[in-house]
Amino acid sequence: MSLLRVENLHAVLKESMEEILKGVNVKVNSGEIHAIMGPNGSGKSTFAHVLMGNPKFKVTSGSITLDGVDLGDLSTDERAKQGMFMTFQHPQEIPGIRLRSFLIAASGELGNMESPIMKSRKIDRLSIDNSFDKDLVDRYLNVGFSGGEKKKSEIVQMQFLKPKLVVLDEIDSGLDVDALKVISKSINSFRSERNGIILITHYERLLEYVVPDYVHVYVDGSVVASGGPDLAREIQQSGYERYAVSLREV
Amino acid sequence: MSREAFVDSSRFEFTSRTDYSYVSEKGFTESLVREISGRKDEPGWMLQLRLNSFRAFSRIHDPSFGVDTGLLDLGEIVAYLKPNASRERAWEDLPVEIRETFEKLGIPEAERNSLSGAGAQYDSEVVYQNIKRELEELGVVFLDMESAVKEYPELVKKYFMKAVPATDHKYSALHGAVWSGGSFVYVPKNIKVKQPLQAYFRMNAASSGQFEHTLIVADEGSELQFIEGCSAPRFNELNLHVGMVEIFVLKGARVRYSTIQNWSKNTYNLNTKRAIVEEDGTMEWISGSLGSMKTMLYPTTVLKGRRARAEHLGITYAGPGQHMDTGSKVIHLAPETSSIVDARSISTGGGWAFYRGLLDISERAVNSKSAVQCTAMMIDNDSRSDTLPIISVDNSSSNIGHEARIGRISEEQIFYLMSRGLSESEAKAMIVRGFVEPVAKQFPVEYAVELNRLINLEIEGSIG
Amino acid sequence: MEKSINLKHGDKTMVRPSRKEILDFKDYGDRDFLMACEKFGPPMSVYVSDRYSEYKRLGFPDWKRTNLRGMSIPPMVSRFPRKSTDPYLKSMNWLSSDEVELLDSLDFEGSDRKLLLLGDIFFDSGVILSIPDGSVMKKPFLVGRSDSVEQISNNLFIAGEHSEIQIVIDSKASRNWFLQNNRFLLKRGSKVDVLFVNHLGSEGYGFVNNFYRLEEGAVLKVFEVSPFSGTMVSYHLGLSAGKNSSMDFEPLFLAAGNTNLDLQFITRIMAENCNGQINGTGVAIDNGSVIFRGNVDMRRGAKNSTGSEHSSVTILSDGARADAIPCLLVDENEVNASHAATIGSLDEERIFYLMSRGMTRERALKMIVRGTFEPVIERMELLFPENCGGLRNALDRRVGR
Repeated sequence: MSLLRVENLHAVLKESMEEILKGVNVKVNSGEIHAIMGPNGSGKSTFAHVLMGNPKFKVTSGSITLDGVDLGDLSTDERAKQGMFMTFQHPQEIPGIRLRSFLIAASGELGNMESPIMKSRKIDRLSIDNSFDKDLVDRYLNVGFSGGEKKKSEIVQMQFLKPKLVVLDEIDSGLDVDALKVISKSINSFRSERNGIILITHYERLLEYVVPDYVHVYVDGSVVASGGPDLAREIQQSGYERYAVSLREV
Repeated sequence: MSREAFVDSSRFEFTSRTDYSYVSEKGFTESLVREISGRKDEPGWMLQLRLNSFRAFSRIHDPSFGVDTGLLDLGEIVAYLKPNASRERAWEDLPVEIRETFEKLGIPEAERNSLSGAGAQYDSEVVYQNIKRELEELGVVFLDMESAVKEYPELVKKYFMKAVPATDHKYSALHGAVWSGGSFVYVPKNIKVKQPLQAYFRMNAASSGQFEHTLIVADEGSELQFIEGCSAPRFNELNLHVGMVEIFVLKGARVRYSTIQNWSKNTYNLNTKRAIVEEDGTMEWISGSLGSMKTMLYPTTVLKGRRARAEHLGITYAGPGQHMDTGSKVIHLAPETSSIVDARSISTGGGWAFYRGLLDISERAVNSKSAVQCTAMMIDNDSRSDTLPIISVDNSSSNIGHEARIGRISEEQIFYLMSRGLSESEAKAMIVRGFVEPVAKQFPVEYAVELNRLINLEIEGSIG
Repeated sequence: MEKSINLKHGDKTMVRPSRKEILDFKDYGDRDFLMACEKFGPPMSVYVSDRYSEYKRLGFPDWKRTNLRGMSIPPMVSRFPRKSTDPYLKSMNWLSSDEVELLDSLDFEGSDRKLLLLGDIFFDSGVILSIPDGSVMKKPFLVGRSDSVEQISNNLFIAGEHSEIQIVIDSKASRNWFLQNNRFLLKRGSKVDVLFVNHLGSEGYGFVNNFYRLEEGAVLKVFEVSPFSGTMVSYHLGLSAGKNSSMDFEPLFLAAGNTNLDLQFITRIMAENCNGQINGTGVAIDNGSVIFRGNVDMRRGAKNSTGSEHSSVTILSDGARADAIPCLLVDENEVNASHAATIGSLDEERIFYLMSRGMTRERALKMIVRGTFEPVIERMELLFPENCGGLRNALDRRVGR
């Protein structure tokens, strides 16, 4: 069943009016994991931000539909309420707000009516599953967290808030092997018939642990090739050159 | 106790016995103003400007902040001196005495070192001018202010004292009335002047005021570097310097103005420097304030156009007997403007360095940012160092950061360097040089060398 | 008298900024003075008379940034304070000559000399709290409960050697006009924590002038929460007169609606091995305006001392404004003096992050503002567990209505 449909999406950076997304087409059905791979600077992160409605960018044409709902005019929080979620490559540090209470409040916004005590217990359990130091849950949101801890904090949030469509923006960058394994396990267990996952990554390594159903190669603002998991291995061996070249020849 | 600072004193401390063809009376009066204008053979509009300024001067009060000017008796100052040589184009044509003076000050060397042209001021008149043919071909105008008034009246009228009107403060009014000498530079659209232009002047006779006016107009897309450096020997009576620098950076243009000010130790240096920057323009002030007894100097940049930028780098040195009240003012009037200020000061031997800054982000200056850093090093315990910045933000989309630090030389650093074989004074001198280096390296080489030598002497003196 | 700023160094002086006065201000006159004097014992009467001659020579200050022109001072009321049963407490009227001498030795300029003198002469409530040497007070001492909407008070707090006390100055009710002079003497080794909570009505004026004198080894910690409306002028001058003493000021402020806040903190260190810190955190919203002055003043004799000042203001609305004037005055080279001031706007990236988790923009804003204050409130709660209730909600309510 179609969960996310992105059709011919064009978007510019408002500040400079420079076009970053140049006609992106992606279709994700529920239960699927899609990987988007591409060289640095190709605008992969921008894709995630535009899906989430970051006001820095403006969609100039094309559409984003989540579970039948056109996200076009919706603000970021409205998209979150529709079930869109993104893990940030560089999660913001927000002093003064503890992760635990933040999650309890956020889930309330998204319709979770359980009691705070139940929620709190769940958060503790998720922390343990992710080898996420329990102390961190009671610290200020991401303040002073190491790179790996920040990523785990994002995963705990994802698992707790249970969105429909998750975009993981380079969740693997800066992670050591152990952290990568733990996070991959969480992603795999999160996957279900009720949600879809997009993994944005530069390296193939993550895809050894979280095997995608589809792999898309993203170069210079759009998807230039799609395939199965083998595509990822091919890129691992020969890099992105081929795709960059073919684009230039066009 | 510290010794006197100037290592190359012999280079600067002498008075040539030059004949002057005219020396004005002491003090400032309206008839003096008319006299000056008459002798310069000025057009009527300039005389009028002087008279208006003089009237403003009589009305305006002394500034309500800064150094104490109680001992400054304006009635004792001689405003105008005209040495006995008319404007010359070739070096060899100058009278021997004047040439010798300049040779001692190093002008021909500078010339030989391929600086584009040196307008040198010798006691209120520009005696020596030489504009290289290249500049002329580019259409760049570089001449003394008096000639500019006559040869480019439309241009001068458009900009002269428009950045700093006479009514701005008491000393700008004074300046407007009796200004004399200085340079005028105009760079046409999109012309980028590769070599820095340099002006050089000094005070000579006792109690002579210095009122030179530098006006620079960088037209759209142009680029210019200007170096101003000055020195004066020591006198018994009080010396006064009320100069003015006005710079207009038009759209997309870029101007860098470097000064080393090294006035003698009995000078009152009350200078005004201001730049107005239009859209996408950039202004850089590089200032070294080393001399004079009392200084009030606050290079100001008004960021008038969108995306205009300002960078203020400065070193202030307050040695024995000196009270330096310096700083910078940046006024953001347009969106997306940005500024950086890096002010460093050293105080020693009883000197007082006071940093006074203003950073004003107006309501219209949305999405602007600024970073200000002032650091002060107190070499010994007789000196004093203060900072008083005022930061004022009037919109909700700008980001401002200001940091200041005052302290002494780090003991750990001294220990580390000594453990590598340096003596204590060598170590201290090295640390102080390192402290000023980021700004010092922006100066022309001769000045940087002078600065380093000065520091060495000062440090060694303070330990002995 | 402790002046706010020193303008001399050796034989050099600096021009003193001129002080302008408001013309035609309806001031207290001789009759009001006599009424005020009725309640004083002889030593106090003499002290107050001297002050009154100085008071008469001055007008009210016409400030550039904080406008007092529309202000009117409350009518003089004749009030005789009740005698207190608390052994440590004594009414300000009945000071002995020794105590008056002590009061005089703690003379200071305040935000303006005229305003300080007004408080010293025309106060209608005032206490001396004197804690004996060595006593450790278990519960905080509360000052400021009163039903009247206008109040002028004058207090003196003396912490005996090695004593410990906490003081809460919280009016608990909005005022139209209040002026308070507080003098604190921290004797050797004493430890004093103070929490100020200022409440003010939206058209009101509030003035607080505080002077703290620290002797050897004394430790001072001050929290101040500034009101959310009106015009508030707050002044704190801490003087480390004895070595090894330390002072720490942590003001928290929210200028919402049409609030004007003018806050000044001065840490003046004159002895060795001392530490003076100022850390201000605030938010300006709606048409609020904040002026934050933090002065670190290291005088001769402050060897091996550290002075630091840090202020951070976030401006959230277009009508709001903030001025920061962080000042470092250093007359002793073997010190570490530093300051840092930031004035910033809302970090859109943060808002976006919170919204991506389902928070509306409003909610995200509130969270961020709450987050700005939270670390300070938590520290406050550690020292004053029973007096911080309702602070969070009060702050919350003013943001993003």
